[in-house]
Amino acid sequence: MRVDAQLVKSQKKASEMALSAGNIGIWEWNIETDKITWSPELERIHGLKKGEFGGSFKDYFKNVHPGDSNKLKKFINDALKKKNKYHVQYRVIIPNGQIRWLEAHGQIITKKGKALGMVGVCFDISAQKKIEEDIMQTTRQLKAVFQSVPEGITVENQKGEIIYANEAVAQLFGAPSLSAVVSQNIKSLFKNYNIFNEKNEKVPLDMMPAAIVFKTKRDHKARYLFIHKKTKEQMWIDITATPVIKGEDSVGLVVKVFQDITQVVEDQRQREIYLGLVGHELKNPLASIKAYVGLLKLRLEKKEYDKLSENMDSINEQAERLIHLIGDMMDVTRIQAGKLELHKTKTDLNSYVRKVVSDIKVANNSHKISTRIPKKIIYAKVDKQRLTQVITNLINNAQKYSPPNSNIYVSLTKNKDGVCLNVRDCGYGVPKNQWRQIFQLYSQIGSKKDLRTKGLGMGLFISRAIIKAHGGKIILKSKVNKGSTFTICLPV
Amino acid sequence: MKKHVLVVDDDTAILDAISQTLEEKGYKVTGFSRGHLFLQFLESNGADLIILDMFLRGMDGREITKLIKKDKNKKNIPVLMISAQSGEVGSIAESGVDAFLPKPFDTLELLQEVERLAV
Repeated sequence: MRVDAQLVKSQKKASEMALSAGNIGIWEWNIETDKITWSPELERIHGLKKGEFGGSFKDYFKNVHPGDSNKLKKFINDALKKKNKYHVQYRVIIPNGQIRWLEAHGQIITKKGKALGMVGVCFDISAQKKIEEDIMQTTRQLKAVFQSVPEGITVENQKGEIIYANEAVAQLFGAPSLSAVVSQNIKSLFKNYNIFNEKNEKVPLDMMPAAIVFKTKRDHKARYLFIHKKTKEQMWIDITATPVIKGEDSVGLVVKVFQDITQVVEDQRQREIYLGLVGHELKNPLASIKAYVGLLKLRLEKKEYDKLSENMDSINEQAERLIHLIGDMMDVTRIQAGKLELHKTKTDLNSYVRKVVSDIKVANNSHKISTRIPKKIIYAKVDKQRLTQVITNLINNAQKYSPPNSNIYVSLTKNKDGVCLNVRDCGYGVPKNQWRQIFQLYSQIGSKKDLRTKGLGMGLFISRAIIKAHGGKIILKSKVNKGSTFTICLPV
Repeated sequence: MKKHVLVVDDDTAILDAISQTLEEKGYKVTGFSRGHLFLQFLESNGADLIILDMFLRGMDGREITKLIKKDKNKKNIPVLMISAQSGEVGSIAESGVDAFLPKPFDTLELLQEVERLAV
């Protein structure tokens, strides 16, 4: 008997040690007497000293977090009714104000079907909860980052199943929604496209970055041209695939980033063409200058002086052409950088327009230019130098694209929205499908045959930017072989 | 008899400078800024040399050269192509031109080429 008691005592001691080492508290609740007994470990978990716990059901609830109190009461009541085992997670506030997460496991003790009380264990799961919360927070942050980046992102397994994707990737490949992408195979995401590499070779899917990364276990980046099978629309996409290593040395998943660089590639192509054109445009006046200089030398050697002055005028004209060209190029750069500055002054438009037109007539009398300007003076705040550039551009264009000696009409009108200046010619006109295009930079690029004759197409681009900077707009109406009317509308 | 040179370039300044230079050196020169007018003239008048710019309004100097070189009556007329466009030497040679002078060129170079070709 003594030995048994000793054994029981040591067994109890051992289990207490185990519970204490595992930070596990023990509790007992006698419903009849409303007496709750806590082990010292449980008091410690609640931040109490040994013997400090009051011992009633009410005392127990004193420490429970108000946010979890109702939930916990309902849980206990349900367990008592159903008379089964239960476990629950809840928060307590310990005396120093700190919040702890606890997990309690309980068992109902019954006698003849009546619940007498409960016994159970309880332990502190704050550290585990913190880790869970941190992981959830990190996951939420990552999801937010993935959703907010402009690049498309997918996570794929070895079978090519997409286990994660963001909105951007769905949009990029024209998928109706994100849910139409996730859990699908990557093949179905690409199904509407033919895919080519930079050498213009068709690329099968098993040669795409994800497949390569699963084999090589290393990052892989490549550039692809996606051509839509139906619309033939082209997209240049940089795909970067990164392995997510699983265990020692195998690739569990591959993260792919899709960057749409269509615009970058297109800009680069345009820049290359533009540089070629710039070279061409600058060389032409230089060629004339060199040729005239050669001619001057010939005439000086032969002592023929009568034509020298005329040749020098020609050289001067070509130098002016170069200056004009370089000025336009600088304007384009300024406009593209958003640095076009205006110096506006209040201007009597009536006499201003008359003066600009008469200056143009002096410089070039190839056409009959007539003006219609109202008697009542219209004032507007404009940058005169810049506006002169626009009017000159429009009239020069009218001269360039209509037969010599034909009529050009310049008129000024005022309406409720502001003031309008019209330049109308009786020339070749512009087909309707080009009305918008001709205001775009290097609009002549495209048809290579016409490159030479039409120049760089900077004039209307610059004109539109100047008018827009004034808060106005420039409109074209035209009929092929009847003529064109460009209208500048400015606020007064 | 003066050698007759046809100059075709839609840049009227260079057309004028080349024409005056060659006239100064004793050539008879006819200048054209439009390709089709040149072709009409060539058909009925012939020439001792053609100086042709590569890019003309709506016409390509290389295509014009091919036409000339295919025509048994004209294929012996030398063609000197000029252009500010660099990097197309291959297609220029293919068209069958007799010489190519990139713009801007030196007047002496031009005169040497003209003298060599217009025989």
